[in-house]
Amino acid sequence: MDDRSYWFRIERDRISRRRMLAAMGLGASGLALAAACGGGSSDSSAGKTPGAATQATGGATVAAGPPKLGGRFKAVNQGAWGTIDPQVSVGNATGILPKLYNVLISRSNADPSFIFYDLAQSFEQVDEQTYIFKIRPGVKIAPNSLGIPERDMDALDVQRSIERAHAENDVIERVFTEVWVDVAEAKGDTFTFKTKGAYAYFLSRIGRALGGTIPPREAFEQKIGLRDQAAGAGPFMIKPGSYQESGSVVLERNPNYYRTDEKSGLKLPFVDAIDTSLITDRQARRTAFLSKQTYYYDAADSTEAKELVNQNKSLYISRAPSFTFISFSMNPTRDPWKDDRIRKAALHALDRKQFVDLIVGEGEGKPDGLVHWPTGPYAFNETELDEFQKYDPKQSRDLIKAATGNDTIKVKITYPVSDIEFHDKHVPIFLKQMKEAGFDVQEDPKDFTAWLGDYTDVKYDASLSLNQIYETPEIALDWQSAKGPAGDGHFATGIGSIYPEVEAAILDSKRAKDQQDHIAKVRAAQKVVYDKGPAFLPIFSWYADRLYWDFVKNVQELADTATFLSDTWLDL
Amino acid sequence: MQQYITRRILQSVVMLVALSILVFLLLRVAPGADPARIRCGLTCTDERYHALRQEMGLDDSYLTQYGHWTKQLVTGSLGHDWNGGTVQHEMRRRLPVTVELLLITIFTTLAIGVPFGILSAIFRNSPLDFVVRFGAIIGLAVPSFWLATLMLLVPQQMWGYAPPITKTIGFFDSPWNNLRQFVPPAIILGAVAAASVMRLTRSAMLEVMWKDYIRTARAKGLSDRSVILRHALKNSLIPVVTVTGLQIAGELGGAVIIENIFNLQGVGKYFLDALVFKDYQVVQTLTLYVGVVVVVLNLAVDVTYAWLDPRIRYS
Repeated sequence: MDDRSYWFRIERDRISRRRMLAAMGLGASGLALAAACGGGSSDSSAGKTPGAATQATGGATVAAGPPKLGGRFKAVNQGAWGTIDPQVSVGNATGILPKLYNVLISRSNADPSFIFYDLAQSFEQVDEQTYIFKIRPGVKIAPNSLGIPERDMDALDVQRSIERAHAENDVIERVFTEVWVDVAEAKGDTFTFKTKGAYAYFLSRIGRALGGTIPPREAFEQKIGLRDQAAGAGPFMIKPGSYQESGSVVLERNPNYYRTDEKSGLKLPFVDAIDTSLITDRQARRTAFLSKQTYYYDAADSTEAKELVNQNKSLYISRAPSFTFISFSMNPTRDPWKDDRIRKAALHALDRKQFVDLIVGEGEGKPDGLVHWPTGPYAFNETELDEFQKYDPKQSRDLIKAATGNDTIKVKITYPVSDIEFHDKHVPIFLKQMKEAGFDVQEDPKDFTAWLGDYTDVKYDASLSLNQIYETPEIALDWQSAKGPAGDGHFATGIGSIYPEVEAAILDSKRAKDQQDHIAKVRAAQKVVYDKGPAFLPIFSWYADRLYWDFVKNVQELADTATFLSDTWLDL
Repeated sequence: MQQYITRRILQSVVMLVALSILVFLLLRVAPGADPARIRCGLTCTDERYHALRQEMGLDDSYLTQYGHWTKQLVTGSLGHDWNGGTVQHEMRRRLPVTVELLLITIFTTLAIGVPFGILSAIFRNSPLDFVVRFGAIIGLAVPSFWLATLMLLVPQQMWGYAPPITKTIGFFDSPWNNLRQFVPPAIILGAVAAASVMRLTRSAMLEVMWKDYIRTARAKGLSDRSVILRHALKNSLIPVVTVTGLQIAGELGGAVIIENIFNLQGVGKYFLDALVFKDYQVVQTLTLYVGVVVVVLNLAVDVTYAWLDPRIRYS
């Protein structure tokens, strides 16, 4: 429904968590808590619905009164779709794909206790590697013009989607299926996954809006293109003729949708339709929102959000951690970053608290360690971080002296000229702090595409970088691994290429058996990386504020999982 | 005259070929990401990336790429853009949007620029003249994107009004809403252009008003209205026509920004997106399109000269 990406849909705007959380190829995975790794079984007769929206502030009551049917929700998209093929899209379309298709289950990374049971009505984890999903009957495909029958989705559809991932290069989850999936088998009304070893992020991985949704098997079997058309069993379907590649679409209620609201007994979705428009300019988006042409707006920062709420008591703020950050990436295959001492000098050069205070203000964000704080217990808290990455420019200078014999060191640092994610505000603070710590920085600013090209191909000494949404520690740690976050050598060569123990610790952190083990292993991996001098330093993550009109009810803050729900109603 | 036009058209063709070569080469030597890499996406495999490079012709020699592109231009099959859609389809969809915006802009430019320029000249050094001149300076000094942002935010903030901006509305679908959508950006573009036209009209009028034939006209007892409109204005319009022609070409550039701010899905916005995505195919084609428009406008201006001043002959 809304825009989720910046890597390949370049946008001169800050992008909040919500704009991306469903879209990120590397990012969204999931917190992999108890249910993910601990075995046992779980069951739900229908997609469970959480209560009222969380952390809403402002002049409005968020969820009040019984839900109402009807109305058209007016959404905004900040960039073109690219493609709406659910297994290929990495861009903005991941905001609407969960409205059109289903996942087996989706567990929220914001509230890991919440699991949305969609195509699977239950699952059982037989052992560390085996997951059996019981397919829900009655998940019926919406009317469509593709000739795909209005039948129930079944286990074979899941199997075909995995087969497609194996067969086609551009399927997003190809990396996941090839690396982790050993067996994917439909049998009657069950579907069995067997992974190649324990994989702590498995359940999170299969429940992503990005690449996790399952199209009907006819699309694969009969080679029906889903690039600009859809046929799924999600809560909505595309109104014929309404889809435009450049970003607009009208979604109408799927009359076959299976879910019913538990409390009211009303058939979901509550709203009749979702009208999504493309608006790339921030001021235009703000104007559209304030004139009720759209029903939500991602504020540039908390100051803007508060100002708008103060001006208009009919608005409220829904707040959530951004799950993203700007980072400093060093290339440990190049001088001077090959030297642990120089990397550690950079580690201690950054006063992350100052970034928070100057960019978003006190209390609006927190310093990050190697794993960012929004991921919860996997991240070190601020006291712990002091032990590993204490801001100490003197120590940085000492390390530089020890490594080079000089008081300062010349380094070339590239960065994109961009205001995405407050990047432009990071630059002067970063340069000042680096200078104070003894780094004589030769700046190499580049336009976004130029930077992205070099960054993708690891043609840099060091970079102050944009990042995507990482809802779990997995990708944050993968930046430190030999093959980088994409697993194919793009974007970074981590210190895992130098230290086998780092590589082993990162791999081990993915093979946890239960939640406590997982947390412990992720934290242990970070310690190993700290010891060797990390080459990738997240700086800080912040809270993102989305404004809604008060007639928009029951907004959920469930990270990626929220995109699958259709429980918002309008009290117009 | 015919000979002149033929010669100009031939010159224009040579100019457009030169322009196409220049744009083609500039795009390829400019620093930036590999367009195949951008299009391929984050989860791109090397296999797919190389396939895409081949598909986009990026591994061919420049000569082959240029030849392929010109062939596409001639046959009208312009290939696919970064979104996967065809360029022709996008152009068909977006061209009417930009054309309408420019037509309203031209109307606004002339409707503001020419009358106020005349009034300013007639009432030289009067308070009206000062106000008009001051307005013109403001119009020239203030960037259009800033005015556009104000145009969106101020009415919304003060009166809760905003033009429809969530989708582009066709004139025949809803004339009223279409005008609500197109007039504000056209006013912004037009106001900036009108400032130049206004100043030029004023100075041209002042120059003409001192000419002998104007004195003669007055001596014949013609009314002020007749002197101004029939004798002075027509002769003072020659430089105005030149400037207006160039302004329209300039407004094509302005449309790139304004369409983005007002969320009009026109050619300007397409151009901007294509630049951002380094879509060679689209940028080349759109640059050439702008080049064609400028060449045609220049030709039109020259032909209009002859109509305005019969003394001008191009033989």
